Amino acid sequence: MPLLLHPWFLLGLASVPALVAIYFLYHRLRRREVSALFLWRRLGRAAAGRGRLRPQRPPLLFWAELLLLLLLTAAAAELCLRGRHASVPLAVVLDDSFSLQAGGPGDSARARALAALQREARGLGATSVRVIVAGRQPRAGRRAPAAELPLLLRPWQCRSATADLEAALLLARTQAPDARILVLTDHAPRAPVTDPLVKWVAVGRPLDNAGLCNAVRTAATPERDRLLVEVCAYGGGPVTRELTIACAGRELRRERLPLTPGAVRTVTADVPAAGRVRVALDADALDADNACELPPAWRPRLAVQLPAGPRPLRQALEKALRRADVQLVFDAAAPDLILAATNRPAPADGAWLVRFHIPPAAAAAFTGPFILDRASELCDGVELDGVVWCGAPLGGDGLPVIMAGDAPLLTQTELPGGGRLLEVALDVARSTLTQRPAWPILVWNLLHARARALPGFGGTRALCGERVRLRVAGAGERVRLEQPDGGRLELRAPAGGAEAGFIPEMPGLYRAETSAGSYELAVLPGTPEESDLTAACMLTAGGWRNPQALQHGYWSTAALCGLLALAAWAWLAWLVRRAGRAGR
Amino acid sequence: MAPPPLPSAASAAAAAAHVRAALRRGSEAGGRYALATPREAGAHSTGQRAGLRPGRSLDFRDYRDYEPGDDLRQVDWNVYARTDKLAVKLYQEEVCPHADIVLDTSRSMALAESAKCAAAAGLAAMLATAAANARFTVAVWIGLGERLVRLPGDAARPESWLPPAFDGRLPLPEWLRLEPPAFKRRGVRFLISDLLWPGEPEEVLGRLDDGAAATHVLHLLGAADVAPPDQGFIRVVDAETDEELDLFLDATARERYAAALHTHTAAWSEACRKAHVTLVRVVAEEFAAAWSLDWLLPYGIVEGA
Repeated sequence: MPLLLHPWFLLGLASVPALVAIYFLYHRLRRREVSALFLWRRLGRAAAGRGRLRPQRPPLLFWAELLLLLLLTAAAAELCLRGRHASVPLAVVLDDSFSLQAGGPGDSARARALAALQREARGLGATSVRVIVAGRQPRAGRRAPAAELPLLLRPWQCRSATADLEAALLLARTQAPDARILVLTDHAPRAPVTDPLVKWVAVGRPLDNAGLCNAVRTAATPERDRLLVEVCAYGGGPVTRELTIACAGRELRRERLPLTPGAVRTVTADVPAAGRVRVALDADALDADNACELPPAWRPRLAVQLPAGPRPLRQALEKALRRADVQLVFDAAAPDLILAATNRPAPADGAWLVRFHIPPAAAAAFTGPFILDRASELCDGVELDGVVWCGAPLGGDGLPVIMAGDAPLLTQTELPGGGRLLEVALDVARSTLTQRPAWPILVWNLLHARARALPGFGGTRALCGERVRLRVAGAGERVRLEQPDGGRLELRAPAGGAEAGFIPEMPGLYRAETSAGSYELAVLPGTPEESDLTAACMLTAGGWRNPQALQHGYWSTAALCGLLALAAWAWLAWLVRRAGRAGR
Repeated sequence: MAPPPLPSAASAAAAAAHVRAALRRGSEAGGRYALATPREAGAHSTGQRAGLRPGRSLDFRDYRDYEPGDDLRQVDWNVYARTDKLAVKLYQEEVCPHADIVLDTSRSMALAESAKCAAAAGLAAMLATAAANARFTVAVWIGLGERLVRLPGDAARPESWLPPAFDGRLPLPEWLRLEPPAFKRRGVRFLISDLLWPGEPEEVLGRLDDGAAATHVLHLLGAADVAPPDQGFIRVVDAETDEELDLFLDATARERYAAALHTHTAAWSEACRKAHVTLVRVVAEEFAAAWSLDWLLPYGIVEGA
């Protein structure tokens, strides 16, 4: 009799609907709301295949019948199963620090790491790959088939200032808890690798190297900048390197520097105030730390409009303005700072207006005590002891900055367009304020406060990992930021403030395009330890258990299912016979 | 006495009443504490409290000799005229400390049969009261739509606040990313959240800690988050995305869940350690049973009033 026509088999086949109904009733799902699903997704493997699906045990006969049916179906369909490790996910942690560029384009540590990655992935038989680029902050890519590996490696440019491999490993364990993790770097691990899922491959070579540790360009005079460069060498013995300083394509200085390993050599130079300055060392093992470009030093430039009169006030202002270190432009069409002695209306274009109120002849003169708002940037360092201040107390809603007792003498008001209105009650002719040190300090503070509110970075140099702030013309403005590698980023100032911020990851020259103009910022690595290649090495630490076992693929279960079906049929027959003997 | 957990079928009005009761209870219990003032809090501003350092108030503190590099504007020229020595005047610092409390109002904080939302609201109320005791100004931030906004009435006592609705569909990082809130600089910042979202803690901590004098993350988990009470076949539903997952929960699965939660919380702990942010973990049901902030005393976050 054909097996499929055996009465007990047909009986078992007929019980399928009942089995399904029983299964459904026994195992219907209870619904439960949880805070987050991502923690539960990792339980999928625990839920199946461990033989734990027996909260309420159905009869053995039920299982025997169901098992027989499933085995026969599996055998007929030639069901194929994956081997235990046939699906081999691989997470690759790649050191993105610039030290991996050491050795030149043909034989760099990055090239060796790439070869090692291909070798390890092929040897492991990885089916899927997830790339985690370890810069200052680790960045995880998507999980993709191993064939897409070249595509996944695009973000790995080895241009970061440093690499936090521990954080990247933690991210890899979080993102891919079941995956083998391959760490590719140029140095040995800080602690022994004990995790059986982690393999640490270092592909560096110890090399002598010298690099720029620091470079600063500051304003010295209106026409000249001061340049400070720090150079450090690492390696076995003293070396001599050639340093070149060029401005706007014109070489300014070429000097041979004797360097002692581990000691910092400082070089200073006067450079023109205009044009980018390029500082470069001659070629060595690592080119990434041999050059940097510095834009001109930050020189705030303010367009100021002076009052036409009265003459004593104008003279006092001119005298104080001459002592300020801010570049001033007079008679501009759109002044940033308007100094007026008339009742001029407040500007709506973001400019600041300082309105001097000349009091009538009978106005009181105050000798103190003066109360200063020390939180205001205008009062920084201002001392009014012994000053005679003549002026009629101000009214209005302005926030008092300087008061004589309860009489406001200087108030400020924020204007809707981003500007500020400062009102000063002052009769210069009858006051001693302009003859005291407090007057130039007050004017100096005013100019710098206005300059800091101008659009721009407020400087031209920063370090990787520092938060950089960029003032823009208006709240909510979008800013296009060009990164050193040519990539573009869009920043947006929050709705409540005219300032955008970002954290640079790679060293180089950043360029921001705003509605008010374009601004440049030199970002330096700030990690001289990456220039030290003496600790680089080639080694393999840790490893994956039984990598050969992972190479098994799919296998057919038809023969096995046929055999098991026979056994199940015998078990079922025995169970039914036993049940028959027991009279059930 | 602990408030009863929020019923799963409660109406919005009942939920608001539940939160309002927690706010009232938190306001009463918070009177026993005062927020500790970090050294940097509220510096460079005038305020009601004397700070710990020399500053810029009107209160004279001391003289010291001029040193190269000192600002010449701070030199007392009268002393120079009398003694022919350059001396610099030092003033007492005045601070106006401020506390920003970011309350995670996503739906995951208002799970059925969990005291998380009551504990979160009560904890925020206790911190606000403790801050007021220490003469801090307080701002409470909640998620609303796609924005993080000030809770209406947060300047008043907590029992007068408009009860926040824990019905946000976005995780907290999205709120911080889409429109970063204007936190006051050099303030003390608190984040009250279950921290249960995938992603890197550094992004949230970076935005939260930027410009702060001190940042404290109060990791509030429900008892069901720590140890799932169910056994057997369950369909778990994400409270915020409504995604579903069917699974069988047995001892092994519970161990794996605990391990996954441990990995997640360890990542947060490590990120907080690197960012010098204090992270304190508390179970909502335990907090709601005691209504006490004594567990924050060892961290120096609060002091006895």
